[in-house]
Amino acid sequence: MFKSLLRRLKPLPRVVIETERFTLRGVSREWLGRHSFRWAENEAFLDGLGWPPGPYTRRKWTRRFTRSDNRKVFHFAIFPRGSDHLIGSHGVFFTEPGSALLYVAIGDLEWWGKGVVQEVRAALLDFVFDKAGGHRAYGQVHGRNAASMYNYQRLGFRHEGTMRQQRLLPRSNERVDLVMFGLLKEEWLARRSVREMRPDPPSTRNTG
Amino acid sequence: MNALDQARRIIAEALALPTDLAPMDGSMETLPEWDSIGHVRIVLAVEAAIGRPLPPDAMLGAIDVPSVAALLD
Repeated sequence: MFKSLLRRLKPLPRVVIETERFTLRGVSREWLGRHSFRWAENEAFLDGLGWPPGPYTRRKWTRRFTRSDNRKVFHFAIFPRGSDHLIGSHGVFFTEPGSALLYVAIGDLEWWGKGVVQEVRAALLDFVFDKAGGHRAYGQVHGRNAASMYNYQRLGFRHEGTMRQQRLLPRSNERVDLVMFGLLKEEWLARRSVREMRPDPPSTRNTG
Repeated sequence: MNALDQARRIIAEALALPTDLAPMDGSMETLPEWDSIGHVRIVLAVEAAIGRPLPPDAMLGAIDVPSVAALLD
């Protein structure tokens, strides 16, 4: 117990990743709980994750997040570059050696539909496979979250299976499927090398 | 209206394309407007047209004009 307490008090290793538009900073769950508490009343946000509606106390909200150590469990706080305004978080949890579970939560709805997940997740896949010793990344999406399924598909994740009626959506009391996506390191590296050789497509607005 | 034209219309409206009909070869890969929000709009429009929710496997299959048309058939 004493060792566990010491581990909790020890500062997390500093992990910072820059993308074209965002800065990702590895934070503790306490930090994330404190700074994201305003999202606890946002029904669209909670529905996307399949989290129950409130009311939440700050302590209860914080405990919804897995404890992070910036070694095997990461919560990356997402900020627009040059700003300290938190817009979301992206988790990377090494649940087994080399196997990283991903989750994302964009709490600032102004940023929905502006390609945040695509840009941030691509950078985090580079991190997982190039720096953190990952061999596989995977995600789980409830069957009504078409936007999240799109985001996995567009980055080359494969649909690996569907767990039928696995998840109960707390607000609608609807039982829905859980859709599993996976991506292997060699698949990501192949996709990245193709992308690096290809010129940017014409774009009328941000994708994702 | 046949299913292909209905799919082209649904996609064009969902993605706010400047034309009434999406191009026949329009897809998730080729249309920059087909982003996550656009995808949700397409799924909801198809569900409204067929009068029932789409299962996840069908949502995953909606990647271009012909596949959206197949969901409407």
